[in-house]
Amino acid sequence: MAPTVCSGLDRVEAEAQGRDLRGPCPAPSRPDPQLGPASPFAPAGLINGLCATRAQSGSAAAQLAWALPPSRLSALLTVGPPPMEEEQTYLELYLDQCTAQDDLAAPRSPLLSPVVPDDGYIPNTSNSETVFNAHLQEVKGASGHFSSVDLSFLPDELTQESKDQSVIKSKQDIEENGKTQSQQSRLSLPREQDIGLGLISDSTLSKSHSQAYPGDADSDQPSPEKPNSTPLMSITPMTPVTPVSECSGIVPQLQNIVSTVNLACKLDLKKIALHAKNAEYNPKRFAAVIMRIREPRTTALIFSSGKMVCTGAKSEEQSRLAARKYARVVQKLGFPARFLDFKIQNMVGSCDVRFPIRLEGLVLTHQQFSSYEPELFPGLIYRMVKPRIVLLIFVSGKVVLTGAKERSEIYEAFENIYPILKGFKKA
Amino acid sequence: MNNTAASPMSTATSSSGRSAGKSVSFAAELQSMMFSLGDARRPLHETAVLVEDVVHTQLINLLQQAAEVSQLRGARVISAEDLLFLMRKDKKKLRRLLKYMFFRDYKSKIVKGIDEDDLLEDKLSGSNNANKRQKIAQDFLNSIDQTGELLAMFEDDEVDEVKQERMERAERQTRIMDSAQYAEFCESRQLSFSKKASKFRDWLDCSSMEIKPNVVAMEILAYLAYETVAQLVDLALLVRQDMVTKAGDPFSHAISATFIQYHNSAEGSSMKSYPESPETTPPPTPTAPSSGSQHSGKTTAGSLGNGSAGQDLTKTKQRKRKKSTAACGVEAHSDAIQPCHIREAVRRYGHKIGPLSPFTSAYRRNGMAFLAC
Repeated sequence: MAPTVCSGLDRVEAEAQGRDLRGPCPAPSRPDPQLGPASPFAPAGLINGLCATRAQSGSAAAQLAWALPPSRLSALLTVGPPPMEEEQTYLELYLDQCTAQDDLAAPRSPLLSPVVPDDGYIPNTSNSETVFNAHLQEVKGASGHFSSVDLSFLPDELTQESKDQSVIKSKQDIEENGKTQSQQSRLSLPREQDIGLGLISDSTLSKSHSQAYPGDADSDQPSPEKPNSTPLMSITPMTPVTPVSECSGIVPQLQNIVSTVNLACKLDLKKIALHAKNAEYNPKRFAAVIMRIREPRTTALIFSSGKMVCTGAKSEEQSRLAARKYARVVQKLGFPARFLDFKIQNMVGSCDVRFPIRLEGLVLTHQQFSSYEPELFPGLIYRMVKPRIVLLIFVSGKVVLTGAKERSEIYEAFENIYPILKGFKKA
Repeated sequence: MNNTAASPMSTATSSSGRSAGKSVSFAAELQSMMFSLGDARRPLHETAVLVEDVVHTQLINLLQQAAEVSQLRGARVISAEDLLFLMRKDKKKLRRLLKYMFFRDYKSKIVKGIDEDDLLEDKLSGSNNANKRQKIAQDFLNSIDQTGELLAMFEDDEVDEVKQERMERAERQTRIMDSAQYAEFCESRQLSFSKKASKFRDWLDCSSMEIKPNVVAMEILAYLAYETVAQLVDLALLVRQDMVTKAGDPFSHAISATFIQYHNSAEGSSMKSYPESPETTPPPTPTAPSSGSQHSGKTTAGSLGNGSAGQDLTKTKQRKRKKSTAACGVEAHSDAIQPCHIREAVRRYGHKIGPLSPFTSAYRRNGMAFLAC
């Protein structure tokens, strides 16, 4: 979490406990950094970018890290004092920065000035100290990808060339079903290590590392356990510092995908309705054929212009497959159907944060984004700006996300909202 | 429609409703609603009954006037436009109503997009429903707007203070609850007249009217009923706050002498009581039927707030208060809104102040100050 965000939450909570009336809501007055993650980068671009900045960094250890294969990396981490101290100084600088951040008054140190204001929302950042250690082995185990190891050392902010890049915490995507993500590099966040500072600016995480920090390892305060941190050098796992939720550990499940495709030929709906199975057509009610197939379980609206809407699939591939099946049906009926401009129009995901949420607090502090009228609808409607997703947040902790054109937007939106929801957890 | 016509009718309606064994009563729901709006955990039944009465009367009056407007334009049903027309004078409340209508549209749009069945349903029923209410409102306000200020409301984004205050109150209330209490609170908040549409329709009993409201108009009426309850609770909370003597408040001796009317006779001995208290003058509000039950024994400690007897009697009052609160043990610890609070709130709301008061609210001329519009 960006320090500004966590401090904002702290303020709200502190006020919630202590004072009766809040002044101007902290959230609205702030530029709401937590809703503006930096644009995602292509993985190759990301890695290159990170490498570039890495090269500029003066940190010897880091450069060594970059140059060496992972197996030797940890050995190298125990390089002599000078690099250590260097890192430690940067660490201390950063931590001072963090504590100063809480008052929002501290002058930005060059260390973090790129990170905090420019990066907007930095989800899953940890404000705690950085310690690098044998997570690398896990990283290795997880992906075996060399560059992901290095990225752990790499700064979070790609575009800044501040020479003291703080070590970034990395997350690794190890989703088994294979990520269709194209943008982010996911770096693992193993549990028993103290993570680095900062984070990857693009924040879409499909799934956190299974041993990654549990979502409830949350503290909004950066804990300045400096003595604890021999950054980057120790191999033994340190006690996990509880950073502000890097990752929720929860993955929203896709519930419904609406897609459209153009069959590019005029269709005779009556003929289709007569010959196709599972097709209904009532021209007086609606000017389209409604067709259903069982596998994948979907429904299609087929219009006489040749356009088709396919709903009900649970994944992008399924939606495409289903659309193709419908196109095939139409083709078999004798129409020269093609498969043009398949586009996913809307994706709906849902998940459960597993704690009750105090919606009254949320609607008050995030007024410009949320609307909550319990008489009309039991859920709070949260219009996230970046990514442009609408979330329905319920008291029970269920969250429904809709309005996405891509899967990553759903994940990103959820990761954005999760720390906010935690702030309003109803004990 | 003037007051005298309204009162007998309202008396007739409410008393007939009551005499018929209260066939349709929202008292229980109102108790829940009041809790969700800021009242105590268990609002008093008497207060709920009184609130129901007030809301019912106001709605009937509103309906009558809407029917007149409808007749003026030669329509056969009361529609949203008529109600909007009635509310045109009060910008803030009109804006709140508009926001409600837009939110309703928006919510159906979103919910529709989530469930594929809903999507199909909507498509099948003819997809001109999107933003239907918004279109109605916009078209109508367009047509009656002379100065452009009504249309300016659509772009107006300033904070609604009343809503803000309610949100803050809810937030304060929920902060201290544990999750079980909070779950109950949320359920209470979800109660509304629109959820019980058929019961609401029966309660309103439009059967005697020639012109009946259509669907959107009923939605708006349900919203206005809820808004009336909310306003009543807001005002009653203010009144209750006023009634408590605050130490160090320099104006406590100047607090309205009308509090005395709510004074328990047992305590009246040490106080000057005004025989010509407002209760003997015809009340401006249609709570005539229930005014007789003013001294129902639910005296609040707040009645001691009146400083008519002067500062030197403050101590006596406080001692008396302690005695009285000890005596009426059950009511003493209850911080629920009392009927007298409601009555005082309505009285104050209807009280004409200042030279421009006849023009400040819709239909004040007619003697009835609408709380919701």
